[in-house]
Amino acid sequence: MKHRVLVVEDNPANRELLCDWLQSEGYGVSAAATLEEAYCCFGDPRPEVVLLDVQLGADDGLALAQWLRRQPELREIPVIAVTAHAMAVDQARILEAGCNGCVSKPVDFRSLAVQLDHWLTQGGKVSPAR
Amino acid sequence: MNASSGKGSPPSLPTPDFQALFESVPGLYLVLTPELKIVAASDAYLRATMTKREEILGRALFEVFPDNPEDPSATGASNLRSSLERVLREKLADSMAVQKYDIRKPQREGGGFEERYWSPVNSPVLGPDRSVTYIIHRVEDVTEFVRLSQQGAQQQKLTEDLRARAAQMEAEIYSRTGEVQEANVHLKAANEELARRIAEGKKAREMLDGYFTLSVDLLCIAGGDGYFKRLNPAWEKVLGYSVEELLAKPFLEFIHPDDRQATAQEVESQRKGEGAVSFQNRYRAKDGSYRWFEWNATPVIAGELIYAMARDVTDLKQTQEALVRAKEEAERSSRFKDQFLSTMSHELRTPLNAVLGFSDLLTEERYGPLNDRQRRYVTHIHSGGKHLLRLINDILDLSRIEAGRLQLALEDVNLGSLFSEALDALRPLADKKNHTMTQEASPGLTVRADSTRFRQVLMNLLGNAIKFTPEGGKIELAARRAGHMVRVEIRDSGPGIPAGEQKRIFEAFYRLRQSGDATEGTGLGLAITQRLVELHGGHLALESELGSGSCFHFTLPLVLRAEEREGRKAGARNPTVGPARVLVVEDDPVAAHLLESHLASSGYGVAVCSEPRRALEVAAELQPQAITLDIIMKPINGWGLLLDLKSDPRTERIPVVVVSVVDQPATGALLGADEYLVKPVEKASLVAAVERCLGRQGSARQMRPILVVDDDPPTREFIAELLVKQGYVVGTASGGAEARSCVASSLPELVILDLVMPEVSGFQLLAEWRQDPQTADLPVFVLTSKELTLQETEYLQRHSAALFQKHEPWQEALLKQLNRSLAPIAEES
Repeated sequence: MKHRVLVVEDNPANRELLCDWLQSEGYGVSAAATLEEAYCCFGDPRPEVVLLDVQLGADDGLALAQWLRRQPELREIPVIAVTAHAMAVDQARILEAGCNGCVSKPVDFRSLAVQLDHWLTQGGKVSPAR
Repeated sequence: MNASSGKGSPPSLPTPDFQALFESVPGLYLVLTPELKIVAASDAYLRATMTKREEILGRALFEVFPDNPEDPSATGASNLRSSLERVLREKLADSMAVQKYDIRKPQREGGGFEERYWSPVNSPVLGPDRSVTYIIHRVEDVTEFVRLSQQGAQQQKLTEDLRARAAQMEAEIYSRTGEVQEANVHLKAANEELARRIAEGKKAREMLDGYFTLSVDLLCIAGGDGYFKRLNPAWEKVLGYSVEELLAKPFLEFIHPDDRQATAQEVESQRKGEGAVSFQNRYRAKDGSYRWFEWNATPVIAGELIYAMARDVTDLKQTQEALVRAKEEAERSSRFKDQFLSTMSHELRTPLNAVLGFSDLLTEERYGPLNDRQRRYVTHIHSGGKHLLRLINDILDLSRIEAGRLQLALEDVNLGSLFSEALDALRPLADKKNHTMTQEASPGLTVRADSTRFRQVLMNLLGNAIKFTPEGGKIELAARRAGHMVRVEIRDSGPGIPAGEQKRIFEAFYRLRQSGDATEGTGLGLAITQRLVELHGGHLALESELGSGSCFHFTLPLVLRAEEREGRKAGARNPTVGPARVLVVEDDPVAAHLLESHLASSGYGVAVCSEPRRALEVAAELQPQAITLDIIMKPINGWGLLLDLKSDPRTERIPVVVVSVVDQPATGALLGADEYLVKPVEKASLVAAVERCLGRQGSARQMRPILVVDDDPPTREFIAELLVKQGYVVGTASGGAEARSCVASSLPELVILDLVMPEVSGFQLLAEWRQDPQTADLPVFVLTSKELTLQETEYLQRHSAALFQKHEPWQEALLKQLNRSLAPIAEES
């Protein structure tokens, strides 16, 4: 069964890039260009992981991560932030908002593949006593 | 019968009623038995003592007439008892002195006691065997007389005194005549002496006047009425008013309206005699401008006169304000630059993402094969994109360094292991060109550096050496000790760099002419490297000759090994290492000497710099552990110097203690002073401030050890060493099981805990400790390299005091947190 990934990205070229790469890697992909569109993408079938552009035009992409963490049904869905912000403070803000991981733009597909694998196959759940 | 009757015995009279006679005698009589029981009393006695016969007969004397209990000095009863005992013993009458013997008033007259004075005589009645059968106690009530004489006595005494004194004076007048003659002789001598003293006093006053007139400071005597009483000519020079003009109006009228209230309050507290104060206010000059005065005032006669001295600090103040403004401006523009760079970086990365990503997908031919030309083109697009990305990163890096935004996380770095790491990382590149790389560092050589940035420096210099040296070259990385520094060298067998280009290669975007082939560099690498070395307090330099290779070298401060540190404490082994050095920057030799002796007697090595213009260079050269800085100096004042010290990478980390008469700690703090003392400074507060700067909390601390738990020996030792150097007592455990038994046997102050360990994990330990009431509050810092899930992070945030990730710079943060967590304990001890 294909793992389902939701791509939230406002830049059309970068959205197409992520979608194409994910599809060619064998993922099932849905995409949203705005926060509003993104909120509607959690019906059935529900995405198993979200790739989230942190800056969606004027909107703060992190609002989606914060919203997800408040939904009892959706709070377990891993969110990987995709950001062109390079500062350490930005990274801290991203993790604080409830994102599980972070890849920076330009996206290195190898590190994105590692992150996706981590969150999808291990479910991001690690037994505390490991 | 007749004859007998004629001569005869007197006619017999009826026997008198002796009892009635006795009771009716006008005197006050009482008859007592030898046991002092009352057997009879005259009516007069009963009246005088307000008693009744039937109430007192047969009763003991002192039971009927006790002392007045409200008169603690009453002696009547005891005196009477002594007199009566004397009579019984000596069988003679005994007259007593006038006695105060208060009389109990009967209940019908209100009770209590009435003040009475008596004059008693006690006489014995002797029986045939000469034993005392009765005592007759006779008294006179002299109360009225005593009262009258008490009044009279005072007057009489006065009269007598006067008379006596008049007589004495008469006598003295005679005897004084001689003395007066003698005194006249003395007086004449005294007059001559006085004349001489007046002349001297005049001279002294002239001298004082001269001082008053010539002083460049503003001297004044002000009255409690709000007017100046006297001013020196310095006032005319500074304000442009004549002294007469200034004396003519209340001085508050010359003061800036905003400062009037504060000034009035100061004057008020001066008038109350509240000691010397120093404060600042503004005076209006004749040209309408305002001058800042800094005052020192002492009330000499409370409420009357105030002696005060002011100094015109307008220029100092303006410099200060300009500096503060400049600093704020610089900070604002630096913030703006930061914001700009961050935005620029973001805006460039977004399109680059598409360039790199799509060219990547095309290169991988996921959507069909490319022909050779297409593949070549796509490769050009991709490598162009990557170059742009490196440029962006380097520019961001360089800008951060130049804006002073790059904070080094300084720690003790072992050169041997860092060298191996850097060489290992670059070995694939070197192998491609068949270079041999060698490493040479004396074991145990440790420097104070930010390990990430130091690695970046080495990688850049080694990378350049690999890149510019033709195939089969030799590259050496070496470190050796040079005094208190470590010299690091990166030497290659490349073509060398022409002398003309040696200076320019450190400039941004400068490229060597000979490296004409397409290099991957950004042209910023050496510029960044040089800045990073400078941030570490070193200097990057180059030695090269065409044809015989190049050598880049720099120095870093050495960290002494443990045994050398011991020697340093003892202060004996190496005089140049010695105790902590303090640089005293002070142009007044007296003040400098005072500071020097305070510090030297507390065991500090002291160097004095009396020329403020040289202070920055001296500090950079000497690298003292702390600097004391005067503010009012010539020709440059301390504020500017402070700013210089705090903005020069060579000195910015040296703590500065401002020691000045200028009481402006806020300005000091703004310009970067670490401590601020107002002169005059006592030795104890000076030494305390320097101690605080040096952060020597270690010796006074009496606390339990900190337990470091990590299964990786190098990490464990590294943490332990880091803490020991801060003066903490440290214990270690190499795994969960050992940590468990350590904590069970002796509770540590705090635990630094690794999470992933074989057998017993950190999570498990933490859970156990939290359940045991003994260890429920044991502070635990988690330090881990594990990627934490959200749930794990939440769990740790609830159950540990702090959480640090090893892949981020954690040392400084950990020490800070440790200091914060344990500080209250240190204060208690």
